[in-house]
Amino acid sequence: MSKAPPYSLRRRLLWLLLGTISTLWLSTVIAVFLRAHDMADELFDAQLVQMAKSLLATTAAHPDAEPPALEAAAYGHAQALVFQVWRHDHERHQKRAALLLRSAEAPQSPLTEQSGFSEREWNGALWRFYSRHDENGRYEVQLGQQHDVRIALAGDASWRVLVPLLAGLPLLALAIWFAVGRALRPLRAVTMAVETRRPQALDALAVARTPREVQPLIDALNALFARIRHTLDNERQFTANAAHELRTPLAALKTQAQVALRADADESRKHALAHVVEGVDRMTRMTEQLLTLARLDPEGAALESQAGPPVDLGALATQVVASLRAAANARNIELTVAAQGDARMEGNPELLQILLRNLVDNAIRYTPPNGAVSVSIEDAGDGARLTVSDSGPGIPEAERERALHRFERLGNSRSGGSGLGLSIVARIAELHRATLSLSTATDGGGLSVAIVFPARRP
Amino acid sequence: MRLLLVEDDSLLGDGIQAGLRQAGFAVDWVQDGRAADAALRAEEFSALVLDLGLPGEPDGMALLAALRRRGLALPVLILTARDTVADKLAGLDGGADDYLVKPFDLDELAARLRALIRRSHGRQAALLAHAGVTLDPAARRVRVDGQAVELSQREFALLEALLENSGRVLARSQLERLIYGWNEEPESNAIEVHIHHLRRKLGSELIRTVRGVGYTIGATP
Repeated sequence: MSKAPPYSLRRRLLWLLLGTISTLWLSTVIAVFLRAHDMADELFDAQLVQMAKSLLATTAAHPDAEPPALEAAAYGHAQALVFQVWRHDHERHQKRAALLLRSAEAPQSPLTEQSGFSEREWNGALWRFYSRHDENGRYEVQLGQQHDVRIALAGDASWRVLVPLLAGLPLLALAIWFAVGRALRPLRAVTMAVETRRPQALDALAVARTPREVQPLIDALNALFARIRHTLDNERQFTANAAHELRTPLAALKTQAQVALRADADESRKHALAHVVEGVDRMTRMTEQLLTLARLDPEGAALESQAGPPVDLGALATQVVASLRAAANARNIELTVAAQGDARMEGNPELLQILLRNLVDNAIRYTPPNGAVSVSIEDAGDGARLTVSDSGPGIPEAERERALHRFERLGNSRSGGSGLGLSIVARIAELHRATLSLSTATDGGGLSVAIVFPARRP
Repeated sequence: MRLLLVEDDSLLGDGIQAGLRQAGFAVDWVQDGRAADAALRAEEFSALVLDLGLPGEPDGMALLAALRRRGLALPVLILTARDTVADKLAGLDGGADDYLVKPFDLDELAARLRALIRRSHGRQAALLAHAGVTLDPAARRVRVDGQAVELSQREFALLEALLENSGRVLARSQLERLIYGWNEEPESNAIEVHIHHLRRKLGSELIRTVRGVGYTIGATP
């Protein structure tokens, strides 16, 4: 199975937070730049108007004087500022303009044709011009200022904001790194708690003060532990029961073998050896049933998807009864089978055969000699009903539930059963979604086991 | 020595009964607690071999508790498939004298029973002895002045019962109950016949007849 390498939540959070914060800061800086640019525009425009006014006033007062103040009126942006002062004469409806004054870089021709503010390319750069006339239109001042100055100012303002932010970024990254690490500490605690636990430990994880986000993980883990514990407990219980159940037949085998070894008379030796063989048979049967149960347990899911041809329960029962006829005859037990109606159903024929064999075998085993065992199959309307009744001692109502558990042998165990038969039957019935019920047989008074299989899907 | 065996498993019960008989015990076998209780009320036993996992009521532990409540002091050996320390503690503290886990060895079972019975009679020595006659219950050997003597199983059991109860006079019926199990009905004069054989093999001095009462070893008339 291919699996993407694990990623670090801490690193991912760091980049995510840094990215978000940087983007936010960048937009702040852009906003600062735009606002500073606007303000620079207003400021410089006002300055241009002010300079134009004072130039006009100076020119009007001293038309022939050189205004030395203006050379210096560049406010540190001398290169970026040019001006011209024109005089307009109106003689016989003819306009004539004369350049009275200009700054060193200003050309001979007018800087702009428009009055008021205007912008255009000049000398390979963008310039802003301003033209203003005095009130009788005789003098005109034209000013030009390179636009770069305004951008420089806005840029300068933005830069001043940006520098501390950039300087703070590594600090911020460090702070995020540690904060996230700290926030993730409960996860580490859970990991540690899981890592350091002994493999056998299946009790609930105890982590002090878990955050709400981690609690579901712990809950899920604890639920898993509980499920595993339950399964293991069942297995352990089953193994323990199995071991105990095997001890008694083993003890019987050993004892009978020792008796045979020691017997002086042929007759008692034969008697003991026959019992040894009987004991081996019993252990064989028990082993087989244990294996059957072990095989049944994981088979549950397989049966669901299985859709073989319908199984004829009647035919199966007849077959099983025939194979057990000899055992019944040996104890002079009357064994009958009656199948009515259509008893075909969905299911696993091998498992159903095991179920039938266990039921009939149990009935024969627990019925005293000269008794009767009957197997009947009928259409119960909502499915097929299988009933196996005997004239044996039956099971008291209070003990019926227990009878379905593994290794529970009830009453006298002279029958030599393993205590597994009914639990196998119950398991197979469960796999077929059938309902199993124990009752007292109407005729014979023994045990009656009824299994109702669900109706065949049309 | 007569034992009561309570074991529900037919193969195992049959085997233990046969094996303990081979070891010289008279063994009565029942398969559930109720029958055991009835037997204990009706007869006297030297020891009880008790399986804990009995079907129905009472189970082994309940039976043990009940007989101890009644003041029955006979030695009880528990025979069970449960082998945890907790189970052993429950059994021993519940009134049992010994505990054997299945599967077990017949010889060990017999030896433990002999030891239990010996201690219940207040003896420490494994050998029974009186006036030059020594009886080894474990080896099933009898010597008279150091010379081995061959005895039949019944003769041995009879001598063992008399030595076990030396100083007491035992009635014929008592002796019958001590050396015969339920389904071993003795001939009416069986005890007399065995006593006669014992006297021939061990000398006529050892076992004395107390007219109208029974037999004794060591009791003064």
